[in-house]
Amino acid sequence: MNYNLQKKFVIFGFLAIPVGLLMLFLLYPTVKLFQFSLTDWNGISKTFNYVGFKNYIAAFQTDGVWDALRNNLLYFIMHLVFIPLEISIAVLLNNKIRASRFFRSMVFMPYILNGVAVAYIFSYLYNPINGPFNALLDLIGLEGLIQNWLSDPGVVNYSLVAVSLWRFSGFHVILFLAGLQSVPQDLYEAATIDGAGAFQKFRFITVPGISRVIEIVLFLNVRGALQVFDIPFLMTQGGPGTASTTFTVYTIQSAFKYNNYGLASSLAVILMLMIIVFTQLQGKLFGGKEDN
Amino acid sequence: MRTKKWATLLLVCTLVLTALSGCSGGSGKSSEENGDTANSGAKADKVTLKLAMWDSNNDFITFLTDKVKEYSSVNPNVKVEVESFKSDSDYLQAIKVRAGGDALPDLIELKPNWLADFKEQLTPLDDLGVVSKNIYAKNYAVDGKILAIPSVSFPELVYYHPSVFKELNLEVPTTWPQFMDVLKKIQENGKYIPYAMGGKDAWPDYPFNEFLPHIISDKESYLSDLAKEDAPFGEGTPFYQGYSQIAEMYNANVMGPDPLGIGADQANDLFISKQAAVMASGLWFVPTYESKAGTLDDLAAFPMPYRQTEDTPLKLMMFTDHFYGISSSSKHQEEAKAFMEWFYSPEVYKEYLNGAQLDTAFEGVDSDVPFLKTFYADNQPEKFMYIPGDAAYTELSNAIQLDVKALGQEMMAGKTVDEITKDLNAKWTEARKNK
Amino acid sequence: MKTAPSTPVTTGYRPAVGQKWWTSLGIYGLFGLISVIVLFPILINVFTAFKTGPELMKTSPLSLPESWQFGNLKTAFETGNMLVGFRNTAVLVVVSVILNTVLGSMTAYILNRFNFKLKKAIMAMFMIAMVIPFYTTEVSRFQIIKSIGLYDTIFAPLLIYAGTDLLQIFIFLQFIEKISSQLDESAMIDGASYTTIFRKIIFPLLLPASATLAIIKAVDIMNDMYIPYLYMPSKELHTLSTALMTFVGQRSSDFGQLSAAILIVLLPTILIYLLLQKYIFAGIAEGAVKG
Repeated sequence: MNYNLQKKFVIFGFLAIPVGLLMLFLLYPTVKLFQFSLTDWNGISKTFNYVGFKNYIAAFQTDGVWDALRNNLLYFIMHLVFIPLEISIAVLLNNKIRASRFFRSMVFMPYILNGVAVAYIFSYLYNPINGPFNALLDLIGLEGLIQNWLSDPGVVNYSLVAVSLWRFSGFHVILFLAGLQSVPQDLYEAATIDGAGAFQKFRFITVPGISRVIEIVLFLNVRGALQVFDIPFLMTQGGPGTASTTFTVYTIQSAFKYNNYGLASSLAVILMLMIIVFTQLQGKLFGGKEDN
Repeated sequence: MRTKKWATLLLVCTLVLTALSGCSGGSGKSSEENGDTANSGAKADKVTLKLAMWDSNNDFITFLTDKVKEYSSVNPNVKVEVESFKSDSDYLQAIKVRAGGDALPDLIELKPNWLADFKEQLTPLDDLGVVSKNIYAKNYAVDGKILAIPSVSFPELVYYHPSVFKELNLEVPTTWPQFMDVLKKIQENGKYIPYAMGGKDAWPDYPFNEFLPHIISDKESYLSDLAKEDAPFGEGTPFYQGYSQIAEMYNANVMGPDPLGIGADQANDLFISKQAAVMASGLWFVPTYESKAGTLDDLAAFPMPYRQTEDTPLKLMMFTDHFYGISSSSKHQEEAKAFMEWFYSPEVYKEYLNGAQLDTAFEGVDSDVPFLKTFYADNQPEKFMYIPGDAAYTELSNAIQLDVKALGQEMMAGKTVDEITKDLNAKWTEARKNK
Repeated sequence: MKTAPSTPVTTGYRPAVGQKWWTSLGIYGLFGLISVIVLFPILINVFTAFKTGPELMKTSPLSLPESWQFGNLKTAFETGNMLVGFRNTAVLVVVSVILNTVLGSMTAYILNRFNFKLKKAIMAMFMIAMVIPFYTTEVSRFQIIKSIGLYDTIFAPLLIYAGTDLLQIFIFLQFIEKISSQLDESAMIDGASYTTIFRKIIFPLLLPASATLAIIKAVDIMNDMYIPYLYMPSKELHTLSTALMTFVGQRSSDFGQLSAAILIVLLPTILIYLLLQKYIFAGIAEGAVKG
């Protein structure tokens, strides 16, 4: 067969299934999402009316939405704060310290564990009656720090964020580690010859060397923090009251508990836009310096 | 060389995983095929009806799963399969998604306040023979049509351990001040947690946050009436009155060290193991208690003492539940109806009632619940039927995302009645304006 | 956090020969602490799984079991539908990871080696897919699944998982770029078709990247609860996640049995992880994120 004709066949043949699946299971539902966001559909009824941008306006005017977003912000900030620590740990692991392999598998372990199981384990750890976490604080003489971990509205979000950090920080460390390993060693050696100090090397070789990874982690962080769902859903159902409700929990409840599928769809669209905007902003903020 | 190593590795992983799965791979296939037949129903005469339900009591799920299998001996061509959920909220979300995809199970369990939402998804059952015998079905008709059949009714009770009351020399309370007094005395004694509240799950506060304003209003149509007012939550309303009483209880420190930190199951355990003295719940709690405690010797109940003084009669909140309907998208309407006729026939229904250990919803079939008999022997209160809000109420409460049980959690966390009612009134007025 | 900036300063590259003893003490102290934080919840769960109900009530939750009781594990395994969960999860993971790898590499091959009109549009589509919020789109997705007759069959999640995503494509692209197109050209001189080139040259060279991606994908699938929960409600189609959810829902106050069920779910993952970790990290280092 001639290669030109073959080219057409192979492009179509190879892309048909992946692109088909993409359109069927991801893009079509998204188009429907836009459609529903302009309606008053209750999620069950066979009919609905178009209401323009009413749902979007309602979304911005509802306190519950903003309260939920504030909780997402906490996940975002805490994970952001952890990034330097994650990089540091990756740097340490990248050195040939003894048993670095063992520590590496330790660090990555939480990420591979079943998320449902992890949520239940922590529910038990935070248990107020004979709970392991309180017992541990007691044991090391810090019983003064004992809190109503999941029932105090001022504490519950920190307790949940801690679970999120436990689960995902190790994954970030491993990503950073991979980035570090791709930085050529001779750069450091040349810098040493030029008389660069340790900090300068870190600032001018390490950080630019892993800027791509930093970008990826920042994107994962924005996306993860805005979409966080299963930890509050499984551990507190967003409670007590609405204290630990996140944006996605709020969306799900609008759709399925309060029969407001139109509002839920508009919230989902807003979420998409937020992820895009925040990622862009972040790229500008953090990526700007190393633009090449 | 390297590639080969990787390829080998991938192959080994695959093999290991396949081996792991392989041991029972065969049966997996066959079950899928079964599922297929069930959905299309075209391949053979054999029909599988799916029945979806939820229950917090595991034993009852097992009972019902086995019970419906007996239908195959009546009608060998029909098999009924139960799909069970742990909680009504999980259940509701799952069936709502399926309703959108026209994939509802043939038979679905419903709560009375969901009927209106699902009116397009349910087949009218007015022509069913068993409907005429049902005591409550007509009360819950939607647009004049009976869409689901209530299987049980039962009182909402406050349970206590008589031994604890005896030990501390306490009387059964019949007014709210007496109730508070009892709880405080248990608290002062220090040996028992006065009230077992599983506040980590929102729902266990329903005897208070959901039912108290309703029964204080003394109007069965209370919820629907809310939709007719702009500010039905403020001072002077049954809502405000009820929530003030609830706040009095929640703030009295009578629910153990961390009522919001423990779930419903843990609270149940506290009560069952006699670490806690009092707990409010529907009659459905009795089987759970019996299966865990082994005996009902140290369990008794009284009606919720919501009233302020003994001058007014004390009514008993009655709930009608376990509604079953046939989904209109079911391809086996006739089979499903025939199953319903069988299910609610006196002999089968009697066993169901005994399994559920609840009160009857059908004329001519009496339940056999010793605990209930004892209760009614000691108490003959006037009954108050819980009637859900109408469409207008549902629409408004959805619009402001009203969840009274979550409000209860917030009260336990320290939110005041004034804050709550002010906020509710403002949202309610706004929502009515936007209609 | 306060210690973070100081550590990279001393060790931003290979350690100096004569590392100060307190530095290494600090480093090992830090990693010791991390290990404790990681292991504490898991170990507590193991202890709890082997304790009897009364023992849990009266002993400290931190204590070792008095005697290692297998009763909880037995109950959890038998009534928790775990064997079925294992089987379905394994089938889902193996089949969808293989499909996903093949589809992902095919997509990347086309996007890297050919120029055509819709290339930009297709990339954009994959990019959009990265930010689509899950859960809320499920109602529409559910309608599709139902209308093609896959509802409550294992094929529903299989197809959803099989689809490739941007991250995977990026990583594959990174690798394909490194494969010299001279290899393709010389094969074409020998008359090989594009399909043969992909099968014989490109795909084998992508396998190292595939291993890492496959493991990450497998982790995602094993941990997903929502898709199997929604699309395969039948009991015989439970996965480990949904079996665990059901089991927990039924006895949320029996921490012994609960922990036993959790342990059963975690054990195979941990074992596979410990056995294969060498390859996981090798793959990640090879270039998983050089893209």
